[in-house]
Amino acid sequence: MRIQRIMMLTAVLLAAFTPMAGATEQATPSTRTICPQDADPASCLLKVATGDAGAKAASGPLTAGDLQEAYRLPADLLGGGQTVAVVVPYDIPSAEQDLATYRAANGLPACDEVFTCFRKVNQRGGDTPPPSSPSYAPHAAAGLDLTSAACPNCRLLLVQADDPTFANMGLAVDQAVAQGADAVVVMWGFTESADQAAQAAHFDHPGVTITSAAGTGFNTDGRQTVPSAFASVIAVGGTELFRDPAVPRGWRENVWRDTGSGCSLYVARPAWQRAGACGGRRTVADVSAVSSSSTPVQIYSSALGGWAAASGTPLAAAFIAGVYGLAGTDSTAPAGKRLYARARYLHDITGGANGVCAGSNLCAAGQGYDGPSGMGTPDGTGAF
Amino acid sequence: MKLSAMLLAGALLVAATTAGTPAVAAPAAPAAQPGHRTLTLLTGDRVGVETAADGTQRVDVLPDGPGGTFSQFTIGGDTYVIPSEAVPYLDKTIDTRLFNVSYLLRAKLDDARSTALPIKMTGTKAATRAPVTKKNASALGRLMAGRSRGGVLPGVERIELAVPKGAPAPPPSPLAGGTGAVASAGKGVRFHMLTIDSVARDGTPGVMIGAVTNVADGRLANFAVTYPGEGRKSFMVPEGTYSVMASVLTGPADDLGSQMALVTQPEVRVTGDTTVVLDARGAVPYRATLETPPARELQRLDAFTFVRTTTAGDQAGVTPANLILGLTWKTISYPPNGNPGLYATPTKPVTKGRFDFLAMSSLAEGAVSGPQMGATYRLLFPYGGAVPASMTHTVKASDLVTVRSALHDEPSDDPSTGPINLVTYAYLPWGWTDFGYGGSPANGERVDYLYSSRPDQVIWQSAAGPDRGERVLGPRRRLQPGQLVREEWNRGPDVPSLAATYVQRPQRGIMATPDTKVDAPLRQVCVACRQGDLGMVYLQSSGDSDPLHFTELGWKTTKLAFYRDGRAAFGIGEQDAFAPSPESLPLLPRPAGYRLTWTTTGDGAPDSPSTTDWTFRSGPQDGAATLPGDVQCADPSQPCSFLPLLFLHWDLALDHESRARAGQSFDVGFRVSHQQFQAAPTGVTATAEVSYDDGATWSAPAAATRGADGAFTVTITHPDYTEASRWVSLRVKASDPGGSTVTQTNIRAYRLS
Repeated sequence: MRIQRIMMLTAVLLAAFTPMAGATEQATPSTRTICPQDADPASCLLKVATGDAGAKAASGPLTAGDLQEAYRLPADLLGGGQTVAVVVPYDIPSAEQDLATYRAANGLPACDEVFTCFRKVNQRGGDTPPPSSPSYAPHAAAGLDLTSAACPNCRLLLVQADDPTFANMGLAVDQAVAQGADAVVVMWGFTESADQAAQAAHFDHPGVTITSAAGTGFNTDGRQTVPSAFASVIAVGGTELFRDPAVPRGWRENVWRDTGSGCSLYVARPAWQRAGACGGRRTVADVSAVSSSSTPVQIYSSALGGWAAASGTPLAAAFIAGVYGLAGTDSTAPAGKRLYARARYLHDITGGANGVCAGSNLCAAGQGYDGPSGMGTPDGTGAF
Repeated sequence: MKLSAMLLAGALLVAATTAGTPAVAAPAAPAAQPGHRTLTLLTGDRVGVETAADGTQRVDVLPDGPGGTFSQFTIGGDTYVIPSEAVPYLDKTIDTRLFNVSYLLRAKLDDARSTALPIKMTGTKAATRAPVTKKNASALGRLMAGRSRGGVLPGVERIELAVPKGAPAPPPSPLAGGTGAVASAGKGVRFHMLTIDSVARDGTPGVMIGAVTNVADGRLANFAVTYPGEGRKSFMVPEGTYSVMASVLTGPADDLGSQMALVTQPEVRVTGDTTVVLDARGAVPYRATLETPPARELQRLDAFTFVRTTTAGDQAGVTPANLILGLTWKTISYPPNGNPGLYATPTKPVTKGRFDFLAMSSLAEGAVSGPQMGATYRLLFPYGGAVPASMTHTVKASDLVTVRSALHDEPSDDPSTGPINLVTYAYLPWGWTDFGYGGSPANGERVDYLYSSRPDQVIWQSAAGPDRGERVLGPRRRLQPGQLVREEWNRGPDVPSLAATYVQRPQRGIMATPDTKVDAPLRQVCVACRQGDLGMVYLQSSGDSDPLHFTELGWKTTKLAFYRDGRAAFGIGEQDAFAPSPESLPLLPRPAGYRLTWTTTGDGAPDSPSTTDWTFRSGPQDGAATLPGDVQCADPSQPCSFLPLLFLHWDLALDHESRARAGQSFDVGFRVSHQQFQAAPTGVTATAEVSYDDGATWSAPAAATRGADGAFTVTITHPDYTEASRWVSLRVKASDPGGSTVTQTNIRAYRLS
């Protein structure tokens, strides 16, 4: 006999209106934010499960294989010759070893003398590392692990900014591009401010795709986070993803209720976005991938004690950067323009919501574009 | 409108259930009849529905159905239970209203009144009406579970509820567009930039601490401008009407020299990018003074409370109960925070939601606390729905309520640090506050003053924290200008209070305490009443010489036992922090004799237990209790009768340290009463005993003399003072002709000096 239970009905579940099965039948696990000291809490987007959920993370959370299957990525075939850069503040001495552990456990090719797929530089391109900070080590692990999951054959470049200031993170992105990155993920964000335009050029490199987390919550504090709100950056939202043999895809996917979305305060709408509820302003997000605390993904970070069940939109941003690397599209057309034109290569997320938004699609999933899931999640690499 | 958007709009009204917890839904009109009914759904799953007299419903999925996973939600007051196997078919193939258990009950389709669910089935070829027998419904559920892909059943285009003849019209489907809650969200609105900026009182660019709130529904937008203050700030907000409210400062709030003004624009319409400038230059000062100030210097504490309530009910601002938030808004003015005065810009009454504004002053003669604190003055100015054009007030002496108090310490061998505090609660229609000076007053006599510019809007309640005991509270009441109130706190040992319990308690929201919102302060429940075969008792301890004094917190060790016709029927062993409020006593469905004993020991006076031993008779045919309009039985939908408990309150001429002179005669005074709102007992007789060895031995019972005022007296002679006999314990046995008795024992009731 099946388990008899009354589900807690949230706006997310009501909007999804799907039979609850698999992972979503579990209560949302307790998580803790990985928030370095003195950081703006609004920028603390990465979380890990606490207690038993974290301890069992090696077997429970979504693995690289799960993600490749769910998003139908030809991970074994593509990505060779592509470089994906992960930008974090401070030096992460354990990054390479942690990545090796993750890749080995997930059956991904090792980064070694034969396949030199890991390298790290400072924001000036040199070998002298900036000061180290264990607080940011999980961000590096999340970035490297998830890009590896999407693109095992890509080369990974860890660019370590001097500190988490917007200016230095921007310089680190510039350096990543200078080092030949084809895609860059920025693993830290900032709440929008009136002077953000001064940094915008660092995140605009034609021919190079830059991804970043869409933030947390719908219209949090009436603004978005940057760099994801910049029109030149692919803003990546979060979903919850779980197996469901009853559907043809074999996976079911809804908007994660804590993902970020909304209208940018200061950035104009890019040409490839339709004028929706945000009018002439940029709408976040563009695309999405799993990052829900209900369906966490596996990462390995010695700063966290090893395996961890991670959630948060930075994971999705890293994964999507890996998908861009995997696709290896050589095009002068902006990544956003390509993405919006190729919806048929995306899973349209039509269930779930991340807030209350007066009937608009800024917080509620629906057919076609919506704020929290953007154009959808990868269904192969065709949209990237 | 897209389905997802409609669903989300419906979600606005969802009363979410917690896992495994039954939902309690507000009543839909017309309500189903009270009682418990079971109902079989189209899938064969069964639910139990408990409908209360007020129409609220509690719905449980019963374990005897096919089982599975269910979604439960409430829209428009109706509760829906959706089996997971039905979800793929909802509103595509199956009418969602077939799972509206509230409506099915109203349509008399529960199991007791209908063996089938009437449905209208539209096939791919024809339509037909037919009942689905509940006995066979689970087969349909299995069919659905097995064909969930695409939400299609073979040969079936649509299954709808066939509304029985005479049944009320069903509500619209929550998944249908253009109706009810779904329509209320309307089409998606455009978002715009709302920028707020400010000018300080001195004309310089202001620093703001405040809130921006969507007036229709705070969930749409409710943003903060945070301490210690921010300059110009922008938000993206959906089109609508906004409350913009901020303390506009001349500098950051952590600069003690900065000056404030509360500037409110309660209804700003946003239809495009909008900038609101909060201009403090038009602010008027708040100043409340006494027409006849005392000779001693007055210490001053001023505060604003301001609450913007949206039409959906959520609030922004500083509520009277959360006055401490005023420290971050800088809307409290007192010497330590350097805020030299409160100002606010006048506003017009709002047309959407509510705005409630209150200014308060607390004045203290000499010192703000401690033995040097003289008379205190609590002055309230409930301005109602707007900030007025003038807030300068001079309060006449004749308009003050005079409160003459006497504060007694607990009897003790050790020196006392004095009472902890003397507090006054004020209940307004939109909040409550215990604002004001009053910490660590000296014991003994004192005078304080209360004032409200709207006596009709304020209900007052005094409370005192004695040196070693729990906070004792007095009755809630309206007070008129010029009225004199006398209060005596903690005189005599603890006894059970006869005061009817207030239903709502003014507790702060810390540690999940209830009732931070008190909107019916005068509602009470009778102390001990019979309802059916239950005796519902709401016993409160710390009654002192004032029969209406009580305590609520239960910081005591208590022990309660209940007997029926001489046999133990119910008991609660010794427990900490327990108050039988309420406790349900199992009564017999016939006239019977009962005994109830209750022992309490205060944490601050562990050697001074109070034991009350009641006996009484009660039967199901006892006359109904006559209660005032604000007083209810435990279950207000059912009549109740008083349990005839006798309550004893001491009237002992003790000094302010709760002592009496050794070696002298002493009148042991007491009163015997029924609970509040019950007619006084007649024909009461009583005897009293005294012990000087903590109850090891007692004097012979002495008959008490009943005075003309109904009070009883027994005169005793205290022994000369010795260490061994310095404590006096008292015991009184009282009875009435109806068979009710009370034996009240107080060990170490007072001390000799």
